[in-house]
Amino acid sequence: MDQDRLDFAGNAITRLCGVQYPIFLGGMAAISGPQLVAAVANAGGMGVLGGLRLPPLTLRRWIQETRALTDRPFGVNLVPQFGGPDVFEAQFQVILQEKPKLLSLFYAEKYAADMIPRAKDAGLIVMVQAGSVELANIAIAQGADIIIAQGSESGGHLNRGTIGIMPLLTSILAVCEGRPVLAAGGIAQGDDVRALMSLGASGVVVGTAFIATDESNAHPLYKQKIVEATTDDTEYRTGYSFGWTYGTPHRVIPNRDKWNLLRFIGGGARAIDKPRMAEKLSLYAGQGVGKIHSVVPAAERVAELARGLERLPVAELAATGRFLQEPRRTLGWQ
Amino acid sequence: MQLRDNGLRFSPITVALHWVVAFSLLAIFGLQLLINIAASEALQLQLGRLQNLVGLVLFLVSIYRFWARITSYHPLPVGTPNPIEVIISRSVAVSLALAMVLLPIAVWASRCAAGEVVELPGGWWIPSILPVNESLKHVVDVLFNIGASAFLAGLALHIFGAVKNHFLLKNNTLKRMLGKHVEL
Repeated sequence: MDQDRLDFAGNAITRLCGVQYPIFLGGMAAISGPQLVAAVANAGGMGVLGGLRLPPLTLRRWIQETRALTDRPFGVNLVPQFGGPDVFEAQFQVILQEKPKLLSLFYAEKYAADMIPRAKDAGLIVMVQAGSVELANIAIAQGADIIIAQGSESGGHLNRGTIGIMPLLTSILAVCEGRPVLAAGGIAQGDDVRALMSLGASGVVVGTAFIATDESNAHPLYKQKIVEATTDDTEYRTGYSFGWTYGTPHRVIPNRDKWNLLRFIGGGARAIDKPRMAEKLSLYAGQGVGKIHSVVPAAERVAELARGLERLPVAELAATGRFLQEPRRTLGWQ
Repeated sequence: MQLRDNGLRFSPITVALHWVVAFSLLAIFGLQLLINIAASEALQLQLGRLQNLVGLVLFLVSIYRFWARITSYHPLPVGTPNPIEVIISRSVAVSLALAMVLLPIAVWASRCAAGEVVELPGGWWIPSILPVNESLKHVVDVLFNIGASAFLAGLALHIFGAVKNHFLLKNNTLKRMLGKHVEL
């Protein structure tokens, strides 16, 4: 795999995080486990453990298992849902003791003003996911090092609102005061990476494309659904999703079975779950799902995404911009 | 002392009241058996008063338990159960707590509508504020029977879950409710 590696010179985010590529694994609850995180890290990206719903002891074990699989930097994503503030604080204590390279926060505005300085004092880089400019401003005021602009194309949970990645990214870039901003939402291939980085993103966060990898904790039927789904197949919902406050927005591949009450629940099916979980739930996925055609090793996925970091050959650049050089044709009514 | 449940553990109050309720229920069922086989009417009345007292205690404790349950976080599940099992087990636990508030009210309402006084030991009684009304009693009895059936089904599921976790999955779910500190 190493010989296929792209010689990317690096940017602010890779230097800050100590990774080769500015490609981040989304910290998907239960799905982004030690194997996937280590595989992404070993391939040059930034793996992020999904800490949501993990009891503190399990979180510690996952961090230690990841360390046993890679000596590269990795992060942990925490969300103060499911279990309340005591669980969140206990998870945070584990983070402070284990000191992964990066702490990623989502839906944590209420706690972050206190938590971010504590994490930074412990030497961690803090990244906050925001689905609106208002939330990005809050995260900046609270001291976040990195902002993720999460477009509504994203799978799984979203902030309230339906702002697409292009307007959101550019708007957050305008207020970020020089901080690196990562783009998330619908990113599955190198071309997506190239497009968003050309808009000013310092890197990307990818979730759905990593569900369909050999190392992910997702149930094989869940991976299969990701592979089979088309771009048209996802749906934005505000109903119930397991472990989250009712009404939290999320994007799923909706289950359409008529006599199946579980279809109203958004969720992800783990490899340890029974097959009917994957068959009955509406499964989390983003709008990039139509571009995922097979289950591959995570390193291959990272390599494909990293292709978007290559400089375009001059000839190709010219081809891309050829419409700019075409003579403007006047239409009859002009 | 931890007064309320949180995401990491049950409070000692929750654990204690859980078993107060469990033993009160057992006492009510046991007293009903004794009432059915009692030799004299005087003994039946005496046992009935005791049963009413236990029911009153159960009702008062259950009001607190239901309030505490819906206003506190539930501790994280032990092990890695699937989400549907977690949703069902928590829904059953809340429903049982609610049923133990509503069912004693239904018993009291039925007795009032029948013109009976709910007597307690020591010459005490629970005031009757409902009119004597045969139709009302009939409606309340029907509702009670439906509620009691659902309650017993839920209780069976609750006990099945506890037994399954303890003997089949061999985890600390039941021990946690017996007061053992389980590190999550």
